[in-house]
Amino acid sequence: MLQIRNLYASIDGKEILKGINLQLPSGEIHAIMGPNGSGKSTLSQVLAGNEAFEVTAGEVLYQGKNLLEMPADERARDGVFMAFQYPVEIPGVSCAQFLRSAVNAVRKHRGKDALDAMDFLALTKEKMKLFDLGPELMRRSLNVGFSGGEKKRNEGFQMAMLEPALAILDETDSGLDIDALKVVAQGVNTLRDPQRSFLVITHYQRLLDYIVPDRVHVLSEGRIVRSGGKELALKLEESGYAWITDQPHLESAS
Amino acid sequence: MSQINRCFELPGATHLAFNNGSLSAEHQGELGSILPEGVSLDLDQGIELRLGEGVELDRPIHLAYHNSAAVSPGSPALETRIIVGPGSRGTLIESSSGLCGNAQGAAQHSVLQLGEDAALDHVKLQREELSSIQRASSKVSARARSNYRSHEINIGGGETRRQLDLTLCGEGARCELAGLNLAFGRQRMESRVRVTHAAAGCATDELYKIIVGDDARALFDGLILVETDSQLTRAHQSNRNLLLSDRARITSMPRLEIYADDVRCSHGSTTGELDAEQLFYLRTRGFTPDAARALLVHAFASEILEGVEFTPLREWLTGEVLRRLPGGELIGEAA
Ligand SMILES: Nc1ncnc2c1ncn2[C@@H]1O[C@H](COP(=O)(O)OP(=O)(O)OP(=O)(O)O)[C@@H](O)[C@H]1O
Ligand SMILES: [Mg+2]
Repeated sequence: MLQIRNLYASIDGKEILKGINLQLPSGEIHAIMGPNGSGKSTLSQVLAGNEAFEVTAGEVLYQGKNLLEMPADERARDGVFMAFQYPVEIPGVSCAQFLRSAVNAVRKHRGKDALDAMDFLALTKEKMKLFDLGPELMRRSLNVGFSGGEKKRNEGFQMAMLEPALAILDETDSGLDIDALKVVAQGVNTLRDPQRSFLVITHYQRLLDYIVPDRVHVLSEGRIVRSGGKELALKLEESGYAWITDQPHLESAS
Repeated sequence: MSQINRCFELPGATHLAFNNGSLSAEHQGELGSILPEGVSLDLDQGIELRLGEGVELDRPIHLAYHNSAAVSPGSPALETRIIVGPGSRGTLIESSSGLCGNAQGAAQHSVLQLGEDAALDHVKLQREELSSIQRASSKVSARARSNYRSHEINIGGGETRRQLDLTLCGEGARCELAGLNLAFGRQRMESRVRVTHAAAGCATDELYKIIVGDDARALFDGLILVETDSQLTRAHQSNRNLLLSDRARITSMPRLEIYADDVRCSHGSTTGELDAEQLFYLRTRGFTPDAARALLVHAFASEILEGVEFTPLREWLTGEVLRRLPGGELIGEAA
């Protein structure tokens, strides 16, 4: 699904990603953990196509295609989805208006007919339930005045509507209460599919109790300094990052 | 722009068409039957539309001015007088299309008088040809406890100069003034708004928005003047502008002049570009750059358009705004 090779990226001349290597096979869930400022969101943004970041070296293959050559909107229509760590507020654009255009742009790209108002409504009802959101949200301006938790659940809901092949969840669990965390995890699990892969960025092992990852990677100072199975997250929860970051490169990234 | 349809009838409104300044032949002999009760139209000197006392219009009246040829130099201005009797209320739409002006800047002037306790919802829409050069003004007086709502919307014309001059002359009068100027290509638009608080306890809420792209230029000049004895005035003026190209220009001159001491007034002006984070967010959801921009521009305009309460007009305006934006057709259906 996704192959990242020796990826370097910088912003305003400051190098943030310093040689990322990562293989995410179809149907797998990989977790990325790592200290604040280590580059996790930068990696997400680069994968989603944020042109504010400059890729200075490396390559990324998505379903065999050169991802870095595709503009952000083309990536999205082609099945790449990123749930933002900080979802953006857009006053004056209702959730319904936004999402219907988005869903239909993606459907058109996949050779499907646009959804009419009725079918769209039916689909939103079904998917909103997955993330425990009420229908009144659809009439509100996108993310404006949403609570932290609503914003994150709304990202999950959008993912469910857009049915991506590759979903990158940047701290979708941050700011969620314990019940909401279970709801979101359950929503993600519902979307698990042999044709779909997830990159789940989190600070908390707790999330990984519900969304069980195939691999866990630790990002530190722009590099993946350790990779392992789900038990790596447990070890991090107990001991923090110091034992890895003090002596990096003990184990090469898978 | 040439595809602007000449016949601009809004379903559900009382339609009065004026071609080259004269009442359209289609209305001859039927005025009595189309004018609502309590409303009279006098065409002896310009256009005079009068709502008697306590009249409630159940549908908007639409004065549609259309000029099929450029006004010849030296022609007198088209004058419209609107008199809203005490306690009367209703919606009035004035639209201008075709070539209402020429190089001499032919003019259309409206004088509006709101009696005590009257309420008027006034939309002034300019959708002329790009070759039109025109001046238009509205001079409004609002008596005690009356309520004047105005939407000035400019989407056409090559060079447009508009002036709104409003006096709140009776205690407790209120006005809500909204404006939207949308200019592309080489369009030029000027809006000058002058509100005088000449009585105590009056309120003004003013929001003008300008969107300019390409090489267009626009100017907003707004003054709120609070006279010495106009205590307990509440006045807010805001001008918010969106620049869609680095060649476009906006000049904003918001001004307050206050001579009374017990007032609550504020004003502000902002001019900005589309937000890069919002654009990126939309693109990660599959919006092309054009569609993302169109959605955000439409959202910016919709704050004004949503205030247009007459649904057929609001929907028509939304469609026209989207039609002028590259990518607008991509979001039109969902808007
Ligand atoms: N737009 C930007 N301009 C300048 N520096 C930036 C920008 N975005 C990120 N950075 C810097 O890049 C580094 C990595 O940031 P990033 O947001 O990727 O970290 P993160 O691992 O997601 O952190 P967190 O766990 O706090 O979310 C930080 O030092 C940050 O300050
Ligand atoms: Mg982050």
